[in-house]
Amino acid sequence: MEALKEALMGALENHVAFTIPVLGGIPVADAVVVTWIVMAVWMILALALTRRLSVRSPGRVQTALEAAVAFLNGFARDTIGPHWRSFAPYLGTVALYIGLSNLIGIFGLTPPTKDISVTAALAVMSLVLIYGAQFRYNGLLGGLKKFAEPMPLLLPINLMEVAIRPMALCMRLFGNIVGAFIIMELIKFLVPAVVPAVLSIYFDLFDGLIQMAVFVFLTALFTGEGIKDAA
Amino acid sequence: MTVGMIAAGLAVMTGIGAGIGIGIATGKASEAIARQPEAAGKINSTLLLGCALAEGTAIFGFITALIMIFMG
Amino acid sequence: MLDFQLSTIVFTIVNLLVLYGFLRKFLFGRVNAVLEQREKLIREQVESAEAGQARARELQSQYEQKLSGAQAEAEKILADARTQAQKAYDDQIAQAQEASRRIRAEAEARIAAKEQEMLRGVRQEVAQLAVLAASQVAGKNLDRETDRAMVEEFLSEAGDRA
Repeated sequence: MEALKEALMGALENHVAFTIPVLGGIPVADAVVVTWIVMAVWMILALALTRRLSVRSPGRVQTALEAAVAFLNGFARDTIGPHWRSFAPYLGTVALYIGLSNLIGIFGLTPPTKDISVTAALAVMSLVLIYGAQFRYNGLLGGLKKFAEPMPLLLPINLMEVAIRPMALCMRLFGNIVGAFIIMELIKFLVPAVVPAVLSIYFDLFDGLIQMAVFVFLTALFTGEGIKDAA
Repeated sequence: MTVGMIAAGLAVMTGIGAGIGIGIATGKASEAIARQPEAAGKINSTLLLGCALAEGTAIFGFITALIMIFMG
Repeated sequence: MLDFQLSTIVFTIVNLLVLYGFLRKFLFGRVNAVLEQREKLIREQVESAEAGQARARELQSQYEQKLSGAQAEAEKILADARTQAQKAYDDQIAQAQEASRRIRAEAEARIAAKEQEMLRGVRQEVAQLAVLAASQVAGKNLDRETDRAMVEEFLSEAGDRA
């Protein structure tokens, strides 16, 4: 039992990959390094897939790419409303990043989303996006007025939501990935072969993609809530 | 075995509520889709959102349990 | 594991912004540009097709107009030709009638002249005969010149009376 606990503790620890020797040493966590790998993968893929785009005769890859982007645009339009255009690329970026981060455990790397700092950063970005958009499209007064909707009585709850929404986003993503990770570790501890591979399909693939969808969906929904009826 | 472990076990009980909630939501969504198959897309996205929110409570319980175990 | 590391948070935010800028420019920007271009292309094609259709319709109506004008013209030409032909025919008929009338008049005049001549001949002969008969009756030769004049006067009186 103690051995299991030790193993779990070790696996759950956020290792520091290396330290940049400036300003008294800035630690660079594993998660950041894996994030760079994820970024590199997406950047290379983006460059490779969009190299020869043709308006008149799209190939098979281009058709799939266009379908995906059109789906993203449609989703953004449905959820965010008339100002969807500037938000779709960000939502797409977050979806791609979280998606690959959640799945990268399959390739033996630690998923960055297992580090609570990463999900906190994502939540902070969502917070800035949600309330930035609310003030950007409603004006300062209109944005403040949004906090008193649908009725002034709910003002404290709406103000609490400012903190709760990103907290919930952060914890949901982190908790799901860590939960799946712990369960996978336990199973590996009990049955080292075959069974973990099968269950990894559910916990890594399915749950990872679902959490990606949920994060993006909630961010878009909260953003749209603030600006849907803004001119 | 400390009191912290028991507390962690209690915290994880939030999963019961989340499970029941998600079950009810999914059941109702199935009924709704059976009644109106053409609205399946909208129902699905609403279900996803509801499940995510319901699941949130379970996740919070789970994280509380983690805090109990590893920090308590 | 539940400690927030400021450096990781900052790194992740910077990473996300970099990834966002990159993907926005090279993935979503490019694909959206292609989608918009295609939309524009299709819209242009539809518009040009509609314009072509409208033009074709206009041309068709023009041709139909022209066609009906040509028909009217043809009818007019036909009518003109018909009236002209009718006139020519009438002229010819009139000429022919005129000619025949003239010929007849000439013939009648000639016949009348001949009749006159014959009548004159007959009268001379009758006068001679009468002179001959009268001289025989009188038993003597009448003076040719004076007697014949007398007889002719008598005969012409008789002819006028007859």
